[in-house]
Amino acid sequence: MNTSMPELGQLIVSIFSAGGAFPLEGATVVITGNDEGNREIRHLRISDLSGRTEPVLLPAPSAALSQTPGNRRPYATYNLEVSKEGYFPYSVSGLPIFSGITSIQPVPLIPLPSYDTENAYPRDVNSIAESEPNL
Amino acid sequence: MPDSFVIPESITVHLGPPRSNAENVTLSFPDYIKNVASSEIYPTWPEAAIRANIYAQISFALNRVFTGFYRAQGYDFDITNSTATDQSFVYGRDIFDNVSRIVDDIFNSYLRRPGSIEPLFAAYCDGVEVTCAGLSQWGSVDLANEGRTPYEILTYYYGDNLEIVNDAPVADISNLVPEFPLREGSTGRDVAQLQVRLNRVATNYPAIPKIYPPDAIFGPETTEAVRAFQRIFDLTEDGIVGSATWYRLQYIYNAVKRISEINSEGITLDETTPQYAGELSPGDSGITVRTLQYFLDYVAAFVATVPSVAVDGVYGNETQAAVSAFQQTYGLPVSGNVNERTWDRIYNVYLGLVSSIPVVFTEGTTIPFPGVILRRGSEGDAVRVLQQYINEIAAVFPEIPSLSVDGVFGAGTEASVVAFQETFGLSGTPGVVGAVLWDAIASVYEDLYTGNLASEGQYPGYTVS
Repeated sequence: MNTSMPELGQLIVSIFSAGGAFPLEGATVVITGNDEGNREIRHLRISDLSGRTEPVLLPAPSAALSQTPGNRRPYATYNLEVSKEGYFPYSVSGLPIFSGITSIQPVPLIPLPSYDTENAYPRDVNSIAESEPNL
Repeated sequence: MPDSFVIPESITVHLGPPRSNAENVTLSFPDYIKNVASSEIYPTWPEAAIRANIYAQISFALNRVFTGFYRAQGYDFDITNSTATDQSFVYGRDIFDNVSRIVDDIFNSYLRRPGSIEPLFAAYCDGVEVTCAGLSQWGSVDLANEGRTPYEILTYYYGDNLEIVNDAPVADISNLVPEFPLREGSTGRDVAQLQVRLNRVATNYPAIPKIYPPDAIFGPETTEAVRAFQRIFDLTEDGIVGSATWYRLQYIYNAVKRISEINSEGITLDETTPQYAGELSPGDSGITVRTLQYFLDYVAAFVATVPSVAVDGVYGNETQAAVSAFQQTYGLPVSGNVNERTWDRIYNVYLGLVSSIPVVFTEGTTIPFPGVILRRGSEGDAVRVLQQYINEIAAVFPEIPSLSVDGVFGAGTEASVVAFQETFGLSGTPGVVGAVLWDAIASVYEDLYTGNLASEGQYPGYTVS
């Protein structure tokens, strides 16, 4: 089976707090591959004044695979780790990337509590598992 | 009276089957649809198929809201993400850029049968694994490839007795919708409003250049600000304000203002102490409940799984739901009551949120309503403050006459107040300033004051007096 992925999709990460009221500059974004065949991929980005990263080009399967049912998965998946001092870290797994398509990944960061007596981590809002439909 | 359904500003989604003990998230209606569209179909499909699917997704969701399907059953959400009964929604997922632009264009359009207000219950399925009476997702791809338009694809599945309602009003946002497009050469109130709101957003997003002074004339400075806004928010970067850009600006502006408004509420609670004062539960009321609600409302602005609450001092169902959601999100036992452990956690979370905000955003810039209705004949310091606010606003909005700041509410002040009410589409007794009108005037003044601040890295070339 041919596992090469010659086509490319693009990813931009948008980091903010308070529902978009505050863009977050200087957050560190690490992008890694999630599939067999792209696990060696590793990109690092820092968010700009508007909380956005420069686009990252990422390999994806041929777009032709998505045009009819019954083909193998027509997208590649990637993982993200986002961190910024003073905020809970944020992780994304299984982020789908399609050939020729730009994906925008929103990252709402939550500031750390003032005193972390509990060490409780709001997991469901900081650890995202993405998926695509089974079309 | 609108003859169309009003699009909700936001929607609450249950992250599981209806009866499951899953969390709810509340998000803007366009963001919800962007997520559904990215979760239900492939972005590489032909555009006509994507559009047809999105019309169906919008209508399905609006039907749930219109009929109150879940709320009528006693649930505190509008829709679920269980595909057994509703549509796919993957909380926190990536959004495809092309899908995002289409949704920004049509999020306030929907399908219905002629003669009916109700949004169509637009059922759909993939059409290969599952077939149904309704749109077939894979079928729509074939029809699009045959050259059919979105409307033709939709009538193929839903019948010819189908109309698309375009540009329906959006709750709380649409009272000031301008004639589109606004572009270089446009003038008047709509341009003033655009400039004021862009400037206010630019205070939080310094890559957007300020328009100084805001003069109700759409010139090159305004074009540059619009372009910068469009670049940051994934809109077509053409410097022209159509429906997509305008609505996006309102949503971002609302997120920005929400924090200002919560902060100014906090100033009135300054006398309270954050010390735990005993367990709080439904039925309680008073200043400690108000303080609790204030903290929770602050958390709600930052954490999507915690719903906002009215800061009214009464511990009812809404407060209980917010407490439970907080406990679930932060890993505490979910009781709906506030014991010491929950109180301390809420307070520590709140402190952490406030500390993360630059100080300039936490300082109040306006004075709260003085508690006395102001009208023709009133005199005093409160009138003077009111006049100062209106004068700043009159300098930007050509339809509002300026007035002398003399602390006396005479015919001139009354005329300016009435002009403000008309310019901003406000109902209420003309010329009479109660709490609601005071807050509206103070809000625009805050926009101007904060919007005119130059921040670090701001586009150079002017000084703020």
